Amino acid sequence: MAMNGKGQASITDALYFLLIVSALSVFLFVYSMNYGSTVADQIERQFGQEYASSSFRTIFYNSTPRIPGESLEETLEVDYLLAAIKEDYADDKKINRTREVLANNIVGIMEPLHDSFDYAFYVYLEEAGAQKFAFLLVSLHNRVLPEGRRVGDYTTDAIVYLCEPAELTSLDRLEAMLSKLGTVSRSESRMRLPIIKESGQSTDLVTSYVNLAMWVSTQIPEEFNDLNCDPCWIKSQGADEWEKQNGPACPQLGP
Amino acid sequence: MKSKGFIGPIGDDLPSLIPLVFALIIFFYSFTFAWNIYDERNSIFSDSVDVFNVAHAMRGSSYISGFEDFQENCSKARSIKRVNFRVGLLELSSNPLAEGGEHFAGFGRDVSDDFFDPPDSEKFECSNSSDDIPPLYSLRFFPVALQRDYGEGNDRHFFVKPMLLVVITWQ
Repeated sequence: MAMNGKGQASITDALYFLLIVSALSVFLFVYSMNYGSTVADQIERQFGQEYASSSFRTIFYNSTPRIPGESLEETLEVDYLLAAIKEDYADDKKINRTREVLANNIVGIMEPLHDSFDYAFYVYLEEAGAQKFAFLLVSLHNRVLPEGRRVGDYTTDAIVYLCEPAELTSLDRLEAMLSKLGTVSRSESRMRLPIIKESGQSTDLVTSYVNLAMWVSTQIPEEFNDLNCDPCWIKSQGADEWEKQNGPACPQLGP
Repeated sequence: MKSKGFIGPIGDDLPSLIPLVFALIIFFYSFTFAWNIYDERNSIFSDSVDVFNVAHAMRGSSYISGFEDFQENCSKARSIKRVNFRVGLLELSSNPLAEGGEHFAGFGRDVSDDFFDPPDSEKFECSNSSDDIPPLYSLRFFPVALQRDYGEGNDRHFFVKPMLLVVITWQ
């Protein structure tokens, strides 16, 4: 009886061995599938961070013609965009004359990533203990499924919004919106904005904060509706050109 | 003693070889598969780090003051020996929203053919290899500001325009 049991013991041992090795193989397989996912995420994040940082500096280093409408090659007077914005802000504490130039520069620099990324560029300053936006541009993709069509028939329009948030808590709303968008790459800097005093003889300097935030295009949270944004340029799917819109926050259409 | 089912001391262990062999095959296959994945991903990460190093050397402060500055950055980038690379500039638009405005042309089949080549200067291209770019390469891009001198005599001025620094690396 003891001798008859030996063969069964060997097979049982072998089956146990097979079970253990199978478990180890599953562990190896799962580990190898997940290996490097954190590093891959970090690399993508680093790329986003560096792109945002480079875009930020490029936007402000750019030149703009002193006479609107002239090209940089033809005009004789150019200025840094940063200087033009400061000059625009100084007289009436608003960025209005250079809004369109600034929007063009931002969209132009972000164009290589435009198909896949949304972004927001904003300038805010603290005034009387509250944050006030001097400039807020948001570029989004609006996905629409026409009624009666299938899921694969989405059309995607690209929309550039200019916003004039009125509420004191608008910065909180914007930050809350950005926190819900997944991985957001950001770059921030300070900018001193001059304000011409009432006497007209000298200027005060106020500190503003300039931010560029970009994220992979996704459904926009409802906090966006509180920012008082108007669609100023729309590019329909398949179109090459942007269509300018006429909203309260938009630069005025030409004559 | 009855010998039912008893082949011999060795014969009785022969059937147990089947699951043993299965187990060994499964183990070595899994190990090789995991090792290949590990090796491949390490290679990808190493390539990505090289791209960032080359881009960092070429980008500097994201302001390129002219062709000489570009060449100086190129010399720094050439000190990176681990990888082959080709770097160049593509033009970005300053007025994409304007009616009839210019737009970024995108990446062509051979990106290096479209690198910025102004008539008054040499092509803004930097490479540490004379080989053609192979089918398998890594590509990253970053905006930079390029200073351009324009005009002559009393009309001479400079302006800064947005460009895209394209970094292509391969092993």
